[in-house]
Formats: sequence, C-alpha cells, structure tokens
Amino acid sequence: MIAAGIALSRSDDGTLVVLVSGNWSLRTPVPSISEVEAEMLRAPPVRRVALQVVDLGEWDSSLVSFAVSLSAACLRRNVDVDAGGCPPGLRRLLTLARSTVHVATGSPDRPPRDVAYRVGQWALATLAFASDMIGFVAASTAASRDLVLRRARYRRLDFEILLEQVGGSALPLVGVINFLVGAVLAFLGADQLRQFGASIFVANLVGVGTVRETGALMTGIIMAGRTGASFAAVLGTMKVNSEIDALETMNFPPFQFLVAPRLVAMSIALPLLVVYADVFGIMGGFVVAATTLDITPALYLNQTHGAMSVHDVAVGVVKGLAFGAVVALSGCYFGMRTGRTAAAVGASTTSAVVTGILLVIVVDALLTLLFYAVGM
Amino acid sequence: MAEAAPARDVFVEVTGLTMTYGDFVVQRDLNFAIPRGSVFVVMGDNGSGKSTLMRHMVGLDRPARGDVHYNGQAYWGSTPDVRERLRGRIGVLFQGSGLFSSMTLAENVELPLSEHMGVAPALARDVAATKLALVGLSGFDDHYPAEVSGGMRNRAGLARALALDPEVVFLDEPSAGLDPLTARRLDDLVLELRDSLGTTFIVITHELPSIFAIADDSIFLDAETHTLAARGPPKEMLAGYLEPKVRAFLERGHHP
Repeated sequence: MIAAGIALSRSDDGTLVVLVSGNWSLRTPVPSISEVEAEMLRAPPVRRVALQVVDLGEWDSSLVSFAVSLSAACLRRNVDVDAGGCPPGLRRLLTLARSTVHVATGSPDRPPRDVAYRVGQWALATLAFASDMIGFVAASTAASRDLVLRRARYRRLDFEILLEQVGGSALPLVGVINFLVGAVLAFLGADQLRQFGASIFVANLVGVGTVRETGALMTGIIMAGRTGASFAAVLGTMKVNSEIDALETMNFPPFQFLVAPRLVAMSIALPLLVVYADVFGIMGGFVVAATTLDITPALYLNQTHGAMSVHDVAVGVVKGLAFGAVVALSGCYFGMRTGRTAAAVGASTTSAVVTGILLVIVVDALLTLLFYAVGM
Repeated sequence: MAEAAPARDVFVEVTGLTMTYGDFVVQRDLNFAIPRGSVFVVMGDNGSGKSTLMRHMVGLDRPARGDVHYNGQAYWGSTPDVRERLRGRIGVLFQGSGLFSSMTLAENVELPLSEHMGVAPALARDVAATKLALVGLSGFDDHYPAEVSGGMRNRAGLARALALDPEVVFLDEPSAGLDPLTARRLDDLVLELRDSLGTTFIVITHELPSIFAIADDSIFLDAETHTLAARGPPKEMLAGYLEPKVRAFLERGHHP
C-alpha cells in the first residue's frame, strides 16, 4: 500500500500546486497542512492554491479533513483555492463543509480562572444559594400548609404511594440498623459499667440513649441516604424530561403537586419510624444484656421502664419530625434545581444526600442544646 | 430473499428476524437485504417497531429469532469478539442525539477516533472539525450540547456517528426538529457520503420529502399485522398496488 503523500510545486502565475497521492486512511499517519502553510510564507507570495491528485488510492475522512483544513488556512490568508483537480466526491464534500448554515459567534463564554474571580463568584453563588433556599423553604411550607388544609392541587394517590415508599418500605432497614446500634451500645456500656459493678445501668444507657438520641439520629441519616437521594433523582429526571414545565403549563403548582406531598409524607413517616426504631434499639440492647450479662430479662425491662420518661420519647419524636422535614426539603430542593443533563441529576442527588446528612446532624445538635436548656 | 435481487453486492441482510418484548411480538419474520452504498428507509406507523428494529440491527437487543448479517457474517451468531469488531463498522444517530453532555461537541466526535482508532490528537481534532463542518456546525467545536439548539444537537450526533467513517450508518429520525432547509442539507449530506465514500445508510424517518429525496429502497412496518406491509423504492411503490395504509402514508405529502 502506497503511503499518503503530498508534493508542492509553484507555477509562474503565483499558483501553489498541492499534489496529493497514495492511500489516505485515518488508521495510518497522513501529511498535515503545516508543510503547505510553511511554503505559503516563503516569497514570492502565493495568490492561488490548486489542490490536485495523482495516483490517489483509497481515501477517507483524513483526506477530506486535509482539504477542509487547507481551504480554511487559505481563507484566512485571502488566497483562492481551486479544487478542480480533485475527485468529484471530494470536491462536493469540500463544498458542503464550506457552506455553513449556522455561524458560531466566537467561542462560548468561559469564566476566567484566576483566584480572585473564583472567590468572588463563589461568594456571590453562596449568597444566591442561601436566598434561593430560604425562598424554597417558604414556598414549600406554604404549599404543605395548603395540602394539610386540603387546598392544594395534588394527586391523593401519589401522596399515599409516597407515604408507603418513605414509611412502610423503610421498616426493614430501619429495624435492622437500630437493632444493631442498640446492641453495640449495650456492649460498649456493659464493658465500662461492669468495672463499677453497675451492669444493670446498661438498661438506662440503652433505653435513654436510644429514645433520646440514636433512634432518631440513625433513622434521619438512613432516610437522607435512602429517600432524600430518591427525591432528588426523581424530581431531577422529571426536570430533564420537561415534566415539571408541563405541570406548570397545566396549572399544577409544582410546589403543591410535587414538593408538599413529599414534605408532609416525610414529616408524618419519620416520627413514626423513630418510635419503631426505639423499640428495635431497646430490643438490641435487651438481647445483648440477656445473653452476656447476669441480668434477668424481667429486671432489664423493668429497669428500662423506670429509666425512661414520656419526655425522653417525645424528644426523639420531635427530632424525627425535624429530620423528616430537613431531609425532604434538601431532596426536593436539589431535585427541583437540577440542570438539564444526565450529569446534573447525579450532582443534585449527591448534593441532596450530603446536605441532608449534614443538616440532620446540625439540627440534632441544636435541638439537643435546646432541650437541655429548657430542662427536658 | 425472493424480492428484487439487488444489483450491487448485499452488505446488510436481515433474515427471519422476530422481535419481542416479553410475550408481545413487535415484528415477525422480517426478511430484507440492503446493498452496499445505498440509502434504505424504514417507514411505519407509530408503535410498529422501527426503533426496535434499529436496536436489534445495531446489537443492543437480541432477536427472539433470526439474525442480522453484515457482509455475510451473522451478527448474533458470532462470538463477542466478532460482534465487537462488527460494531466498529456501524455508526448510530439516536433519537434525541445521545450526545455526552459532559463533553464539548468536538470531544464527542473525537472520543471514538482517539479511543477506537488511536488517531493522533491533532488529526482527531481536525477530523472532528471537518465532520462538524460537514453537518453545518463549523465553529461550534467548543460548545457543550446544552449550549446549542435541539436541531444542532441532532446534527452533532450525526457528526459523531460518522466519526469513524463507518460502512453503515443508522439514523433514527434525523430530521426531527430540523427546519426544512437544514433537513434538506442533511439529505444532501447523506447522498454525498453515499456517493463519495460508499457509505450505506439505514434511515428511520417520517419526513416524506426526505423519504422521496434519499431512499433507494424502503420497507414499511405495520403495527397491526406485525410484519412488512410494503417493500421497494418509494417512488415505484406509488405506481403499483399498495396497501391502503401505506398509500395514505406516502400520499400525505401530495394533496391536490
């Protein structure tokens, strides 16, 4: 197979003849136009470039690309190109490539990359994000109030399905994790308390620790990963498919139709899940205590009952309500603010989970301080 | 293959192809051959399985029965290695373009060149620019898919499908969302590539002007009988007997 090649020659009338030969394939190295460009810079000036072929074998896009690049280079220097000596197919492709329907007006705007610019952009974006988020929370709360007062436009069936998805379907996972956390708590406590002969107080640690803290916290984190992610992915994909635009044009306020049912469903389901989680957490501790410590089951349960008050359970349930709201808001917020690409759906799902978990822990700390301050 | 023995050598051949979704038969026992360097149009009513046929032909879905032959080689009857090699000879433009949103238009076209053919970066860039110019998008190399219109995305998808100079190119509704002038330019490009590079095109389309302009041969898939309702060059079809449905379809553009 003869390799692709070019030969340059000049004629008296200022024409540069570019003679193309051989087999031109993308799979083998082919000449570039730099050689031609270098020749054009030499004196005497080139007025015209004639592209001709001799002994041309098989050719593909590599030759078309060479011809198009050459033609563009000549255009920049105001030099005429004569492709009359090319095969008709190549000539027609060249014509097609040169006739442009759309004209790009320069490159698209890309931000400069210096540090000051980026810090400034970041600060402005953060400010815009904060104000956007506050507006979102306000609109979501208003829509949820409408839903509770039966004034919202939404599908009741959607709401019921959501309630089942965020509540019922989460039961196995929430149960297993809280059972194990309760068991771990009991092991940890037993090891320390045994040294003081106070093993029985494992029941206090597990009981109060679970209902006030770990039951709600673990459930909140599980729901941020499980349901917050799902909200963001579903709403984000709806955005990409123009489903949210369709809702708006059909006069279904997206906040009432999409956000409020999710926010209300989570606010109902999470406190209930916390109570369920408390039972499993205490069971976990009970199993560990009954099998490894010298405590009778009846004594353990009695001690647990005596250690806890209704206040303790209420603290956990209130936390659950708050966690449900922040997880739902974070999932819905990032879902509704998704860009219009597949990558954007991934990014908003990640943001929803990260923000959800962060908010759960921050809210937990704030509420713990608050309850401590009011003596609950 | 009783019908119209092709004058040129057959490049793509579908034999006894039956496509199903679960128990639902989309199309049964399809037989047709496509000569090298021709434009073959797939028509049909909604839900007749045109896109499904394409998915079976490009190797995305496995047929329930039958096979697709490229250059005499059975696609589904071959080993995975052979299938991978055959796929390298196929270019596909998906409905809605299927461009990678995280890459610029030029990067979308360069990707198969540099990854599959090992083309040097500078040449890959030139070839990508040429392909984009061919579809009328010169200068849009550095734009992301989200930054151009739907019709432009469609054409950039075509540029990517053409990246490796494939021997056969599948186009799923390439003119959808294009204005008549741009659609006409696309038709010209298809005919040009057929004539100059000998590319075989298999085009799914409803656009009657486009069908009459580019089709060397065509089939019409029927959604009710689940098989071919008509077969032949569209212009010749109109001259002979035609199923009423196919005639109505083809004559829609010729109202008095």
